[in-house]
Amino acid sequence: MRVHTLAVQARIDTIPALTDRVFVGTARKRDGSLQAPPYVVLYPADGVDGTDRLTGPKVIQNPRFTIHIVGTSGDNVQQITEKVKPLFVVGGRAIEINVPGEKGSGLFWDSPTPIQWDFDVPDRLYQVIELGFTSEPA
Amino acid sequence: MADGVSIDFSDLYTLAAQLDNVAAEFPKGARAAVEGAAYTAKEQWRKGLEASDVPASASTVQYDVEGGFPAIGATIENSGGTARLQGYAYAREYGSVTVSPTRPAAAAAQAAADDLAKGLAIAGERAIERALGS
Repeated sequence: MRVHTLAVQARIDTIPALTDRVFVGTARKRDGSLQAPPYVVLYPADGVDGTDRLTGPKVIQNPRFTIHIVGTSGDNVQQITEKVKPLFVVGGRAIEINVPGEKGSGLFWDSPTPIQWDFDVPDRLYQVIELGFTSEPA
Repeated sequence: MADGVSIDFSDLYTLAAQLDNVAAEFPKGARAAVEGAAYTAKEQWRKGLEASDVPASASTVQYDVEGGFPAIGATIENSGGTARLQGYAYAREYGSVTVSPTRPAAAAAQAAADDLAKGLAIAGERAIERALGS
């Protein structure tokens, strides 16, 4: 849901170096060129909704995000990641992302692969993060 | 005139012995459930890659089932084929600077999880049926 995406986007946008540099779906400009690093791209998915009871109206949403943190070097990517992660995992504890009318829980932050280099764009590297949480009626 | 009550526990003892057999009957079904779920994951992932711009990348998907009861595990990975095809399958899953992720493996894992739950439920039912018939 867009509201979940906005919540994640707004949180990362608070980092001064990434203000207005958190994009959804693509980091391409209107002319087709890519933004200059550093920047972050969110690829949101609604995930699969769940229910506790077949007879109940309660729907548990599971928003999921594939996040690309793009920088100019491996070190640069890690520096940015070090700023982004504490916005979601503080001192080893996951935060709750609450949107109006819903209560968030069960946030996870995964880094499934090493930092990657794109053959097509040799001047930048990127880190893939998988972020997701559960959101249910408040 | 009788001065006591006597209860025949023999059926209960038989039932207890039969239920003990459930643990022996379950592993075979559980392994079949894991194998089935792993196959589902592989096939779903392959289909996702076959629908991409580089269908040959589907050939990189392989799976293996290891272990036995109580720890049976399956690994599904894109370890086959050439490094280039593996790289394409990776980009399809997680994206790159220029490519958006489409997550065929994540969708396959979800389908496999549903399959595994069903398979284990069936394995449990059959283990109880077999044990009670023993």
